[in-house]
Amino acid sequence: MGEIARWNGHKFEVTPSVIRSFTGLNIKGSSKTEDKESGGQGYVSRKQGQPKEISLTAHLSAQLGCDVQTEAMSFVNQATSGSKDYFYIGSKKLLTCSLMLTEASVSEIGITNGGKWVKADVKLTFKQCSKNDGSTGGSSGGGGGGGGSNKTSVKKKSTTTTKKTTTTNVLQKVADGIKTAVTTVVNKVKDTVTKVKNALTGKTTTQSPLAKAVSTAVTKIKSVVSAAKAVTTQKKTTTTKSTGGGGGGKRVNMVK
Amino acid sequence: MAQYQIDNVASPINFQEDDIILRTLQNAKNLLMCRMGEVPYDRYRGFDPALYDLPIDELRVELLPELDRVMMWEPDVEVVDAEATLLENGDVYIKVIIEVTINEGA
Repeated sequence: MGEIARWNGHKFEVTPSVIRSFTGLNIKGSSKTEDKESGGQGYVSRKQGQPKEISLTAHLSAQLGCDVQTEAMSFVNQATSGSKDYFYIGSKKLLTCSLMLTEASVSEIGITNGGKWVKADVKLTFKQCSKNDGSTGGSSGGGGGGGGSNKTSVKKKSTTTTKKTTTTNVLQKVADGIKTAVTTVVNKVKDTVTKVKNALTGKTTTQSPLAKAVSTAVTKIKSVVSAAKAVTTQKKTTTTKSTGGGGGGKRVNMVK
Repeated sequence: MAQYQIDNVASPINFQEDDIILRTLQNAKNLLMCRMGEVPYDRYRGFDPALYDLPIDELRVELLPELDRVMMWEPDVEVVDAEATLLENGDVYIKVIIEVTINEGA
């Protein structure tokens, strides 16, 4: 009789012996959203529901039969421990989910000269702490723009393929270049050795066989160095070309 | 989630019931019919009979919190609403709307 509301044994009531009331009942429901944009227009889509929240301010007065200090500190302790219960108003549940007391703030405390608390206001904040909220539930919709991610993944695949192809081409060209360079060097060295040998054995008639052989060797070595330089240039050219091939990847990135 | 109605009118229990929803409803009704203190080693299980002695208005105020306490023994049930009616013969008829939170397809 005379009960207004109840939570976890705390009764807000009006009886001949006590008046314990509250004001400022506030019920809050919200959703977490995700910012999106399409065609220069920003919009949001729902990600998930936020826990429902209730807040109220309880007015405690010793003149109206309340033990102000005990009741206020009880709320504070229960907020610290995260006590939970259903919130009933007029013998009906305010919400079908249970609510946890997450915050209790005591203010406007009146104290007598003997140290007794005679009045206080306690601001209480409750939050939903069970899944059941009386709604039908349902998954949060992804909203528009879902196709964007599909496109991205497809493009990533094509990028990978292009990169593989490019890598294969570069390796092949480098291998060919090295092969050509090695062949050239070996042939030149063979020629040089043959000529030096001929000069030493007297097969080639020269005024100074040794000097001519050395001169020929130097010439051949120069040509080998030139050939090696040519190979290096060829390698660089190949690398540049392959980077150009990677441009396909860059194009994809630009589309992304 | 679907809502169902149970009451405190006695009915036989079907121990061979296969349907999980019907079994849960039977559990809830059994808890409602059970009197607190009658189950050894589990004295808090069941409806507190002291509430029947309250004036009907006070019973209506105390009914929903008590049912929430009783249904803690069946976690798949959530009490949505309840109503107590005083019958002509002095009995109290209790009607409870509950929600079964089991996914039937799961």
